[in-house]
Amino acid sequence: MRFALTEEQQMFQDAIQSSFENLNPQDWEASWQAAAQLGALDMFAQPMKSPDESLMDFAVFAQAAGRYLNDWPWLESALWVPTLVSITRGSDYAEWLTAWSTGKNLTTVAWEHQGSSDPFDGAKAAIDGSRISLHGLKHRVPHMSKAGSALITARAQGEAILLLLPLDDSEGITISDESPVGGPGTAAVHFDITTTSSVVLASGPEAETLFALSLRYATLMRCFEMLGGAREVLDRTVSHVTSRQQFKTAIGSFQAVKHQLASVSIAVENLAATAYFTLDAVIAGNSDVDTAIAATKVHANQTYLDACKTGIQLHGGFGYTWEAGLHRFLKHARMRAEQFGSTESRLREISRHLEDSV
Amino acid sequence: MDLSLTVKAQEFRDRFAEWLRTAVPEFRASLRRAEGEAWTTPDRMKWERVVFDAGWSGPSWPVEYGGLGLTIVEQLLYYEELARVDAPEEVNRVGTRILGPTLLEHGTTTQKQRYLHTILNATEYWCQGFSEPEAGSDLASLRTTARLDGDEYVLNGQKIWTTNAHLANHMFALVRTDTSVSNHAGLSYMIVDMRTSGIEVRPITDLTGSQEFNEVYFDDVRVPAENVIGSPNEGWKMAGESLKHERTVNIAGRAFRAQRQAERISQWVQQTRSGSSAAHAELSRHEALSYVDAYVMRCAAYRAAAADPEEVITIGAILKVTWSEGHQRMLARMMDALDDTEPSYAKRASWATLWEESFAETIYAGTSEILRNIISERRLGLPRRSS
Repeated sequence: MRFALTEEQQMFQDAIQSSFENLNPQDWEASWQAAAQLGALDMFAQPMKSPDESLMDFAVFAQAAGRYLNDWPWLESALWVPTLVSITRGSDYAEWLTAWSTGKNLTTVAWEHQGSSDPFDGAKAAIDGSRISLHGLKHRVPHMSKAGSALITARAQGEAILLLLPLDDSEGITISDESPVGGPGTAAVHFDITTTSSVVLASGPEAETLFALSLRYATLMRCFEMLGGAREVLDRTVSHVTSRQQFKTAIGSFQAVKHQLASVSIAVENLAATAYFTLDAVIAGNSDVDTAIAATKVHANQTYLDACKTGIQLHGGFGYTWEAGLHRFLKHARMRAEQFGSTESRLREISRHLEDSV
Repeated sequence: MDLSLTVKAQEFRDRFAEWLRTAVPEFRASLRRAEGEAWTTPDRMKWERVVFDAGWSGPSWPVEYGGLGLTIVEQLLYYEELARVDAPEEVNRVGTRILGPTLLEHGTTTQKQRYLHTILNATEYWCQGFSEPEAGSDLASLRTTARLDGDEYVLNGQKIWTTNAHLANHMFALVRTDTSVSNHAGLSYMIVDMRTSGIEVRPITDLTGSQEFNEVYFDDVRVPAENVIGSPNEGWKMAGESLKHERTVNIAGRAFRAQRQAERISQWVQQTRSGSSAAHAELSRHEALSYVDAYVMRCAAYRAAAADPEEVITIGAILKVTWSEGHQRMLARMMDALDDTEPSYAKRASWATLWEESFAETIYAGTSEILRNIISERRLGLPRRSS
């Protein structure tokens, strides 16, 4: 297992960071182009039928996206959906990839349903010959109003299905924006549509297995993104307490301040250790990775929120202002803690896994 | 550092695990101990001989000195396997993990020949004489003096919190050999025979009711000058610098024990879980949080083992805080869970002992407060306290 970057990955990280530094993180098009120029899209477009070392590169990308709060659906568009499309569409994948590589296929994923741990809950589908109708409600869908297509999970007569729906026609789709002010874009989406059944990517046990597989990668990469965000808040706060003087001394020399930041540093380093250790287990194909991923997500939720809370506190009154910019990390941390399994739902999942393993 | 599990490491782990699978139950049966029953100190001392006789002692020691010569990742596997089967914990830990490696690096040939093999075969026990009543976290302010008189040093002063001083044949002590220089300079590292006249050991009853640590008084205790390890007045550097990896492996071993306890918590929860759905959910949550704490500790242990030389101290500090505070949380939750649900006094008592012992864990080997100072100053670069 590796906890440090290779020289090549270090160069990639430096390149991403210097590219993202000057970008407006809300500008999707510029972010997409920057990623393309870095060669990131080529790298991530490889069909990922089994996990491999390229996930390490993606982890580097994810941390940079977290550090700069990149608000475009990089995870969905660059890893999650391509993984599923490459597996299910086989030879058609190249065609899809062409559209995708020009930035036309920025994708979102609609899978969560409030209060349910079943990723196929909330939406029901009925297939009738070449047509499919879809009804239901999905929560915490990122960037729904801007994405070009959406991967949707649903059940048809009790069976799981995966759909990749183009969003060029919004008829039958009601988007209720739930984005916090100054926070990342997210919505509750109500579907009431009928379209061609060619949008179905997979169904039955295959859909469940594939979705679980891709969700595994996506959750872990979300944790790396949260690690990037938490590290940025820690770095900014260390910089602030080193320069801010009170009582004729830097406030960072006071033990009450130092110890709070040491606690954040401990949590952040442990998140890095946990995320890399888990990634190694995923790449090695270990059998108990789902429990490990759930534990990593629980630790990521707590760490990112704690980093923000401490960061705001130690910035004093300035930390509570829009100008300090920490509000964006806090809202991001809150959103990420809810997405991909809240702390409570992940703890329930861990307990279920432990019960199964006895 | 790359910690990839090599074929050699996996083979080592498999062989060691295979030996433990039969050796531990046989040892338990020979002492008529029930599964899950705590090992006593005499049990643990006997176990050390069993391990030595089977050729599994000294994981970090070079092969030429009778050790296993394991890489750091193999050492972690070694301690993970011991934890997995609840093997007795080592009593002579300071001998094998602190003094032994120090002698290997800084000892004279005579010192190595005299002491190393008796540490490994567990026929001589060691204690560490560092802390003093006025020198705890601020160790460098220690006051026990060693005055050179001919070819002997004469020791006067007092040590405290000396674990197993009452069992030990020898102490390795940090003492002041030059009172004219500043705190860190003027300290020497020396071996003291515990049977020397002028030494008095007084046990201290700890919070749990045990007597494992002691006060040790020196009243004109004469120590041969050849017992100094390394050069006189360079004890501070040796006490701190040469043992960084040993500390990491030591704490990692404890983290693996905590992970084993999380598994036992899980087993207990699954046997106990019944009644209302609210109580059921609460126990499940406790089980899952223990898993998370233990998993984070385990990852932190591997991360610390992979640390580059320049970050060993701060990453080691992170591991120590992570293990000790995580272990305390885990056991405190377990005590709360037991309050409502466990009718067996014996079961409650065995967890209560662990819970009580955990109060020491954020104090010894660097208090959490000192370690947070180290992390904030050396890792985050925050300014030192202004005077």
